[in-house]
Order: sequence, then structure tokens, then C-alpha cells
Amino acid sequence: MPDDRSIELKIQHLKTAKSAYILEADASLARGLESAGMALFVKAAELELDLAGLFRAQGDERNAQVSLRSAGFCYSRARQYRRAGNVFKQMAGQFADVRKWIAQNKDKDDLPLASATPGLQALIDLLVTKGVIEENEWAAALAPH
Amino acid sequence: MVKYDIENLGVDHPALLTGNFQACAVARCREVSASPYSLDIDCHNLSASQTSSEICDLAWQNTSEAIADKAENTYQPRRLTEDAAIGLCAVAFAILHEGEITEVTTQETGVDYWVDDRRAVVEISGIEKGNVGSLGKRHSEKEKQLRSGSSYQAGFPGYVFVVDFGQKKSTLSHHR
Repeated sequence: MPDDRSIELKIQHLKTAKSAYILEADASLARGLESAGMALFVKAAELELDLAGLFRAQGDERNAQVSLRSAGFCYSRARQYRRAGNVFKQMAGQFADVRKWIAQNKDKDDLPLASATPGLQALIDLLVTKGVIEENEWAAALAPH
Repeated sequence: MVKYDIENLGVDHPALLTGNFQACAVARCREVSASPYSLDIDCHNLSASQTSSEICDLAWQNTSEAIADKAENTYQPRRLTEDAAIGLCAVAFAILHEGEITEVTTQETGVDYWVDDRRAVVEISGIEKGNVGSLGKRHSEKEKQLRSGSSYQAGFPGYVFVVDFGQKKSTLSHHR
């Protein structure tokens, strides 16, 4: 069984790694690199969920809630709305922005992740390379209307 | 007056990858002066420091200039200013012994920076070239944003840091 010191080290490593993913994801979306940003935000969400689990294992619910909130918003920024909603449903309702998000987005579904479908990603890359579409246009086009 | 070498940012904030913030900070500061860049920091209600103001002479080496060139080629002006502000905020926390920026979390439209393993959250903003009133106005806006923010309302204290690169002035305040 891992001791407290090794759990603490794992928490610190996870915090550094997911912070790097979030910063890179945020920068990618700001540059209009939609598919890269979405994939990075999904990875950041998964690391935040790992963190939440470690905090809960330590009985630290306050920090678990902070990580769950961040994980949910990472999924939301990756347009994985169903996954975001599933995370937010685990929460105690401490954060006003989470309550607002649930009220506004509870019925939305996940958008496809291009990176999870190599054929789709290759097609998008080709269209972007040929100047047919901008990198950030495909997700909007695939969104349910 | 305190001297600070920006190459120490990674040592003072080891949990974050600070290279980008460092490069952007050099890119913005060198538009106004050669190294060292003298920054006024106006301090309000800080938790560790009793200081009401500080002047920081911020120095950098030629290697940082080369990385700043890349940052200028990579980022649009607004992003460059935002990341440069995070760099100078990290400098202010280090020289005032106010804490370490340890983590980034996500919120609905942006990101939260956390100090000392979630002791407090920090709102950061940068102005490329403002006028005499710009800093105070932006600081008031960011303070309102902090107070209405979900983390602050859930009981986490917060800091606000705003820097005007052109005026070489900044404000760091603590709110609980």
C-alpha cells in the first residue's frame, strides 16, 4: 500500500503535468487549433480526475471538489458535454459556475473528437492544409444544430 | 529596491513550466527598457509581507532575449501580454515572499492560477501600454471579477495582480 509521502509526491507530479496540459490546451484554442486543444483538454480532465481520486483517498474533499470542477470544465472546453455533466453530477454544489453550467448544458451531448478517429483527423488535416477550411471550423460544422 | 534575475523563475516556482512566461515577460519588458527593467509594485493587504510598495530591478541574459524572439514570433500580442503578466506576477510573489504559484485549473472560459497548493487563487492581468489611470481601472475590474468568481465565493481567498508594462507599474492585492 502506498504511504502518505508517495501519494503526496504523486499529487505534486499530477498537478505539474495537468497544469502543463491546461496551459497548452488553452494556448492551442486561442490560436484556433481546435482539434489539438480539445485533445489536450481531455487529457487534462483525465489527470484532474486522477487527482480528485487521490484527494478523496486522503479524505480531502475540499481539494477533490476543486479538481472535479476543473475536470468538468476541461471536458466542457473540449466540447465533451456529457462527460462534463457526469463529473459535475458528482459534486456537492459548492461552486456557482458549476450549478450554472448544469442548468444551461445538461442535455448537450459530446462532440466527436477528431483525434479519436484517425480517418476524420486525416481528412481535417488535408482540408486545412489545402486551405479549404480553417482549423477551428470543423467542430462548429459537426455540432448538432 | 530588490534585484531579480528572471532566469530564477523556475527555481522559485518549480511546480510550473515557467519558460513561456519568462520569454513573454522579457519580450514585453524590453520594449520599454534594456535589462534591467525597473518595476514599481504597489502592495495592498498582503498576507506575508508588510510592505506597501517595492521596486524590482528585473534583469535577464542574452539567452532569454533569444527565447523572447521566438515568443514574439509565436504569440499574438494579447496572448504575449497575458503570459508576460503571469511571469511578472510570479516575480512579485517571489520577491515579496508571498508564495509560490503551484497549479493551474480550468474554469468555464479561462484558467485559474493557484498559490501554495490551493491556499488562494490569483487573478492576473497585463496592459501593454496604458495611461495614468489604466492600472487602477483594470485592477478594480479584476478585483470585481475575483469577488464574483466561483472560487472566491466558495471560500478561497484571492490575490489580484495587474501590471502596466509601458508605465512600469503594477499592483498586487490580497482579498479574503
